[in-house]
Amino acid sequence: MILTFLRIAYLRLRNNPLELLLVFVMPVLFFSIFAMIFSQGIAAGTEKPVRLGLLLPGDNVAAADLQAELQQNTSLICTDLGGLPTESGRQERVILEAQNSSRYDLLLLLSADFSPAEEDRFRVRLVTDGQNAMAVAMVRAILEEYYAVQRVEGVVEQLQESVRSAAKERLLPAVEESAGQGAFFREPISPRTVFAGSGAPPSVEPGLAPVSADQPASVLDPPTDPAPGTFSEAADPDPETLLTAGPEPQISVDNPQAADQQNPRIAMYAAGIAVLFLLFACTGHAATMLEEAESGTLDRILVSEAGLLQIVAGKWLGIFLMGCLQLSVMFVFAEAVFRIHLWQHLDGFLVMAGSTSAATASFAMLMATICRTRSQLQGTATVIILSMSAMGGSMIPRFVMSDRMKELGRWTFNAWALDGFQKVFWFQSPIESLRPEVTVLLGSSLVMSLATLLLSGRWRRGL
Amino acid sequence: MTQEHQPILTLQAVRKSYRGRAALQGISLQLFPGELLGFFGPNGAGKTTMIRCICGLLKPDEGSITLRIPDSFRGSRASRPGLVPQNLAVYPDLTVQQNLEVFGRLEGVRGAALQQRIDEVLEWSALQDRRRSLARTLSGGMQRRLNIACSVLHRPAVLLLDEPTVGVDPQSRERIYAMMQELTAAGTAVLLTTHQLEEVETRCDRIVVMDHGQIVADGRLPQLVASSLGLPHRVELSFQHPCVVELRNFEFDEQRLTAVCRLASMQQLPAVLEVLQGLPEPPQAINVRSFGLQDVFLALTGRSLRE
Repeated sequence: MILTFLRIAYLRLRNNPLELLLVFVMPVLFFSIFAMIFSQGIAAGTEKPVRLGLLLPGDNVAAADLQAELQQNTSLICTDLGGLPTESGRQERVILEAQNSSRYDLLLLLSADFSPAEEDRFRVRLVTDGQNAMAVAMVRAILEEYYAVQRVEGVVEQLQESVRSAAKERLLPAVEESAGQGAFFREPISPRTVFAGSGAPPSVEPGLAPVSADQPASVLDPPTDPAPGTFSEAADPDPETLLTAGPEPQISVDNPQAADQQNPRIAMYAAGIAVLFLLFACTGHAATMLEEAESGTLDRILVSEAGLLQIVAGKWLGIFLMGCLQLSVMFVFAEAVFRIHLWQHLDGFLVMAGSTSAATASFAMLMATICRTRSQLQGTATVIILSMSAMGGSMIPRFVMSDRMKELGRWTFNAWALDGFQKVFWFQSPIESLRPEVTVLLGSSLVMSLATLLLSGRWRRGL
Repeated sequence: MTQEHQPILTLQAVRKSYRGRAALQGISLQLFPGELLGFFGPNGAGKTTMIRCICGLLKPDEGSITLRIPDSFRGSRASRPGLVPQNLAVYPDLTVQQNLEVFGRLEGVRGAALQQRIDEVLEWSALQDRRRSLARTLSGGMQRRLNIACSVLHRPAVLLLDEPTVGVDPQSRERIYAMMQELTAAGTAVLLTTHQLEEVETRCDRIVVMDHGQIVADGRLPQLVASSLGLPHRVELSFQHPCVVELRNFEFDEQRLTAVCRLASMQQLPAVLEVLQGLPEPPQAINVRSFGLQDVFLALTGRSLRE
């Protein structure tokens, strides 16, 4: 008897392709999407190069040297964004424009007098949009390493200069005294000349210090007990002291877009979750069309004064308004509890909520028109919505995805909706900057609505 | 021809095909004011297609459908037929009153006129007491009545009902037919699609049988029987032993154990019985029956299974 129930379950599953799709294909599809995200996105860590935008002073050799150094680093994709304007207001505009382009994980700005060798002139400003914390840590480490190397080279140069000065100071009088000023100037100066009065120059093997304790003092071997007032006392630099006592690199990190926000990411999560549930809610609402068709209610309505266009438009409007309301509830709650600064960005929110709801309503209506039964709609919509949400950023933020995944995500309107909400709440972009997102969302809404109208003739023929 | 005898609805050589398959093959039909027309046929005969064409949901490929509204319906929105689908085409999560309101609005009835009409319809369908009940909480019979009530708010001149009495108890069925009689008394033409043949036999003024996209019979029951079966009454005699006597008007089987006679009227039966009394061996059983719609239907459409 139990086997009979097992057989019933098997037969029902076998006879229902959609159920098979949900049970076996959907998990594999989802696994593939997440595998693609995590293998090429956040989990790949260092495999994903940091996109670094460079805003450097034009006539600074040290800055050019740093740029060359950064461009050699394979962990970075450096883009020279041209010279940094000197005027503060223009600087900030350039920074915001670069950030809004979403082409860079991080912006690097150097002061006009940037110099890694001089105190207080290694001043670097890193501007982040807050999306890629790894990028900040990585670039900071690269800059600190660069600074350390530059400091070591500086110290070496300083030591060489000190030794050179000491040699001049101590040996020149002796040379003059022993050889006579005339003779000194008659012969060209050479190391042998310099050491002529003290015998042969010391043998120095590479990497080894001068060896003989009774050797005369030389530039490579300053005296261990110099007389008071000589070079050693006044300027003998201890290399460790030079390295540790120097100024720390001044690397500042800031996010001008989120300067006055407590939780800029909260708005993103609100949008991601809201769009996901909006899709499900709208599809569920559109399913009433199929319900009405199955019960004959739609036929009764079609026979009434209401035409097919009015029915489709009325349904669409209902779903659209419900979508706007649902998004509003979510964001008002987020504002009340998490302070996402909804009221400051009300215009952008309304534009995005409207265009997102329009696209969602059209999607739901199209799905309801294509599908023949409610169960078919439910199954198909689940597959499509979850896939779109995973690829479009409702489940995993888009900024942790690889560029390829981001491009794939652009085929979903979740991605466009979330990019728009991101611009509003995170980047605090002006409403004009939403034009691409709004165009895509409203365009897709129009296309899907037209497709719905074209296919809706089937309601007249019956299911 | 007086206006009452002019058809409200006229179908003239209507043809409709789906993907090369002919669903209607030249249907011609007339429906008169106050007439209750029983319309039936096997599954897949083309009934639904024809109703969808009458409603305007489908456009015929050929032929014409004409609706001529009598003066008594002038001023109302009667030009659109009322449609009562077979399933419960109401919103189960709205109350009775709310359902009537929304469907009244969809038919263009508004304001005080709508409220007045709702009151009339509630009384007509005996649902006054359940005005505020959710439709899904009603009994099957009440839901059926609400289903019909939602279609008459605009006082249609033609009402199309698809199996309105499926799954309801005899009391509710009686009430539904009473409602239909009230409508026809007011001049509404009712086209009733059903498989409840006994009801059609007894309730309908005229019967139309459809098969393979064509009307195969149209008329009152006696006419249909006469045209499809001949004489309407049948007398069958069963003998224990082969009958050796020849009986006038009776046909015997090969073994002469069974004999069948057809009568034009039941008034002929006493004469037949009188003849039988004179037989040396009287029949073991006498079976007398009148042909009904079932016989007509099977005679016209055959016994093979359809869709």
